[in-house]
Amino acid sequence: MSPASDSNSTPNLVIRAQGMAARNIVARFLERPALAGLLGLMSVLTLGITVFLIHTLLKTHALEISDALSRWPLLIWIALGFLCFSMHLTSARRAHTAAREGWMAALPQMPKAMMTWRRVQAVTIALLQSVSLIGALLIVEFATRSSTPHWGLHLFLAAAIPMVSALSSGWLARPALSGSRPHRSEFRSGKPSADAGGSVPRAWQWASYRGKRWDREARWSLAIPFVLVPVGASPLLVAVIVVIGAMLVQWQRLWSASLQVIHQASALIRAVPHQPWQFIRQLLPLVLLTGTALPAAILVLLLVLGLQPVAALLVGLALWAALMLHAACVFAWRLEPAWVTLRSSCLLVAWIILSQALIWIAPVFWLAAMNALIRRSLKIDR
Amino acid sequence: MNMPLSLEYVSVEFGGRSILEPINLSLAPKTIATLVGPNGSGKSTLLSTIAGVTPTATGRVQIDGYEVSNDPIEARKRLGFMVAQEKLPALLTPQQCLQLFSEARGLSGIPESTQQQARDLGLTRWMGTGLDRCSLGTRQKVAVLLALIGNPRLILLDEPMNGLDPVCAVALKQWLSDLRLTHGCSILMATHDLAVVSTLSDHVLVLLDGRLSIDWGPQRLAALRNDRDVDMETHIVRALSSENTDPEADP
Repeated sequence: MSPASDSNSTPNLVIRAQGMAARNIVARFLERPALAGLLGLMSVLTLGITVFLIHTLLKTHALEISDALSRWPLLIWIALGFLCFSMHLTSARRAHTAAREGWMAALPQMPKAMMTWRRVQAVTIALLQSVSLIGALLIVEFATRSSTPHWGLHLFLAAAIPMVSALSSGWLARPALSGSRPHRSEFRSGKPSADAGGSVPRAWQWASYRGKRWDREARWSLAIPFVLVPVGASPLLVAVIVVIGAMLVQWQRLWSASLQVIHQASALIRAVPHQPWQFIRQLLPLVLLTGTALPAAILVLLLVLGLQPVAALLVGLALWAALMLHAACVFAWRLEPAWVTLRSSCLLVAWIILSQALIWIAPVFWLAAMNALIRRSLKIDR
Repeated sequence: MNMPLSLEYVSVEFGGRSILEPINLSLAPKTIATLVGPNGSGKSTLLSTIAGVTPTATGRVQIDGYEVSNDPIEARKRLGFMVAQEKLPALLTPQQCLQLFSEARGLSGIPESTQQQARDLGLTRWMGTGLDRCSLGTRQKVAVLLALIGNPRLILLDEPMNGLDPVCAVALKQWLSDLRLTHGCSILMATHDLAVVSTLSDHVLVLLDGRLSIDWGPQRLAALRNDRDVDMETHIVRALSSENTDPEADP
């Protein structure tokens, strides 16, 4: 018996593990060439559409952006810095948690190996952010024919701020408390609320929501509405925006909790004989309620803002249809949670593209997709 | 010679609430110790505290003379810790997990002994399958093998027999005995399996409500085994249901 050799002589285990996992994902895709091709096509299309939309937006509003940059440079760069920082923070926290509690936590190479991987990841994300910001600045600059003052300084900030965010997120994400201490709300999540009522799965959905409604991620998300407040807005407008933002955050927590429980509950009762329809029936009400509440609220808001009723109704309906499609995907692939987001995104992108190109096909496609997903949901476990 | 494991006044708290009351404990070389206690008594917390995954509120943990909080790298080089099977990476295969842990132990490839263990545990046909497609029992076997790689001086196992079929459970017990005798490993194992406690272990620890209620060393255990009136399992059940506060007390 000999103790393990010097930990410095071994390659970084986390990077090796990430590489292996990436290769395995590729291998799995290659096992199903048709699905891989479709997903690849969808990814390229999504990327292309996103770049095109951003490019068009920047070109259309280049003068306003240039004007804003010259009038409130400090405010804009602080907001952008905050945005970059928040993108780093989640991955930094995940890395810290994995280093403390993950499957390799007790190895001699930890937490150093995880921190090295985290630095690689942070620099990559920061580079992507810098490239995006510099690209956006170039588009604005060409569109306005070099009218932005202090152009060089802006370019410098576009390169530097993501890097500073990457560094600071690593420090700020470090846990202040003991590694395995359950978060206070996790204790709360174990108690279904008295107002939950109904079945156990429904109580579970509520309990899951109550456990995460004001967790760290939700609290950080609350900062986003403040960033969106226009300069010079009245206190009333600020209050309205912040309240709407908080409601949106809570809606997102409830929606994700109600869908997450579908995976957890199906894994729990997988080995027990049960009727899929009974299972779905118990989890569906909260999903339907949450998925309808947001489109209804947006419909009302649009009507209040003076949009034509038909247009407002169309927006509300489209949002409702998209949310239902996503929920149906979760039910249909409830035993494969790792792939649901990807599959659901592909389906949604395909539906949106079809809606843009051939609007009359969109309802037919939606009905066909829903039919297929519902049939699949009812076939699982049989 | 350093003790493979030594705990001095080790306690754990979460949010001001005591999870483990101060524990003093040492494990002799070539020992198989079993940690018994009801659900929620703190067995897994004690194991993760020894591994340095859960921080201590007071006291110090030493593995082979190296203090876990001050010298974690040296301490962990001498430690094999069984990770909870649900924490294993879904997208990796058992082969890849074993390969990574072998590298972490400074080995160029998966050692022959681990490959033999995998064969004995019936893991061979699943070696190339993603862990998310493996059964609970298969993942449990992987978690156990990861702790045994490189024959570390101290091995911590958290309910290793869970989910194993009888043939594999017997094979694992044989491997644990072999690791102790041939490689000089010491093993601390949390378990609910009283047969394992009575036949395999030579040091029994009973944890009740975060308190080390019973600490029977080899001599005390030998005396209990010689008791013709009461079998070993009954002694343990009595210990588990007692409110005894003296770790050295007779059952």
